[in-house]
Amino acid sequence: MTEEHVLPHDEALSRQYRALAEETPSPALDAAILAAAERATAPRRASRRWWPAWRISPQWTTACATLLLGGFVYTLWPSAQPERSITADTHKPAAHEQSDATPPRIAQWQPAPLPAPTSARAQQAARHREEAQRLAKAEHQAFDAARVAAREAEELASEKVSKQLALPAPAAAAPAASVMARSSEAELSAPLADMASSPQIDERLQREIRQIRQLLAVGRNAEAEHAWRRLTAVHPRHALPEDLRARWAAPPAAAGIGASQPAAASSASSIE
Amino acid sequence: MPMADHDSDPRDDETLMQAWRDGELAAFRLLYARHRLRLYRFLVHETGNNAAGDELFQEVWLSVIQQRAGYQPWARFSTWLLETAHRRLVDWHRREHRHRWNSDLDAAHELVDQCPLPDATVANRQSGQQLRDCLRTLPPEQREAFLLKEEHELGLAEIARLTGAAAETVKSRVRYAISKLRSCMEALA
Repeated sequence: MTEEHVLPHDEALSRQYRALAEETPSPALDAAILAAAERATAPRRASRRWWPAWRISPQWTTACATLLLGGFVYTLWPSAQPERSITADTHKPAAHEQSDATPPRIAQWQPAPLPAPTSARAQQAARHREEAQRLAKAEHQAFDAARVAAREAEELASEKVSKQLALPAPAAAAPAASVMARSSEAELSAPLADMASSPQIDERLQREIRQIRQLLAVGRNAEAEHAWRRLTAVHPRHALPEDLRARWAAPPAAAGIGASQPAAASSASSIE
Repeated sequence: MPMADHDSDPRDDETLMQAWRDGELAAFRLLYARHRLRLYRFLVHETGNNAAGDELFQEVWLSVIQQRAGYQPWARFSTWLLETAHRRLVDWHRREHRHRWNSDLDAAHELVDQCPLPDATVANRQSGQQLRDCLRTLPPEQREAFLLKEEHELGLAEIARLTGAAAETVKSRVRYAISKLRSCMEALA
């Protein structure tokens, strides 16, 4: 016996039920359901259409990554390049200054730490600051070279004066004033000529030194000393002639005696 | 919208449903064409009005569309479709009539029907409209069991599995439905 036979059955009632007017869903209802089915399948078909294009083109992905990386590096390059050059500039003079045993004020000079640029304007300001620091460093280097040149010129002038003072008797018999005047001229001209040979010497400083020497030559010591004080106050780090420095570094009382003064200083006091 | 000819494709319902699960829209059209009439009649007769039948009909097919990815051919497609319809019907009855959907009502109704009318009497006296009116007077559980048997030609085991009731309970529901319909049709005549 099957399951269907187990169920109660009424043949007449079944026939009556099948004879009922057949209700059918409206066309609008059919259209709504079929449209929903189409919408449900549309995204999957679309995804199948574009996804393989992404999947089979790793070159395109690599090109995009390279482009982005290149743009990133290009964006950072203008701010990174001066930073490296500043670092290279600051390391070289430091070693140079240590070897020359310059005054500690110059040797200890270091550029201020640069703040991280946050915007285009900040980057531009940082760039200007770096440029100014680089120029200041170059100026210090130029004055170092000038100081060395001045020292050499001074040594040369001292040698010349020593040779003239050590002349034989006929030459020594010449008037002391003329000898001292010539030595003073040599003292005046030789260092300045050597210093002028360096193109990096500040013309203004050179001119002031020349004026001081001229004042000394004509005997206006007070004005010369005043000019010297002002010069050393304005240019404390610059290389200045050692004879002038020694003249006014000694006590005023001893400056006029000239017994233990250098040759140039004694010659200057003789002129006075 | 023209309906697809559901006899044009030799594939059975389960194969069509798997094709629809894989994205073949034509397979859904065929399934819809094969089952739309019987499902619609079942829902309209079960709810007793066309508006509710339309609403449930659309909900059932939308459920078929949304749940296609989880379909497994462990049962006939018609059974799976009717299970979905049954769940919607239960929800609809609870929402509309606050009806308590259990088998306790069957025991009470069993005492009422004691003398079914002869088949010939029913066949000669009832019209289609009378039968439709009488169907509305049945309790939902009995009406569902009767409609599943008559409309979808399901067996006892299938109805029991679909409705979640015991086989004997289903048998009682069908028997009470038949007897009540006979009484109702006789009274209306």
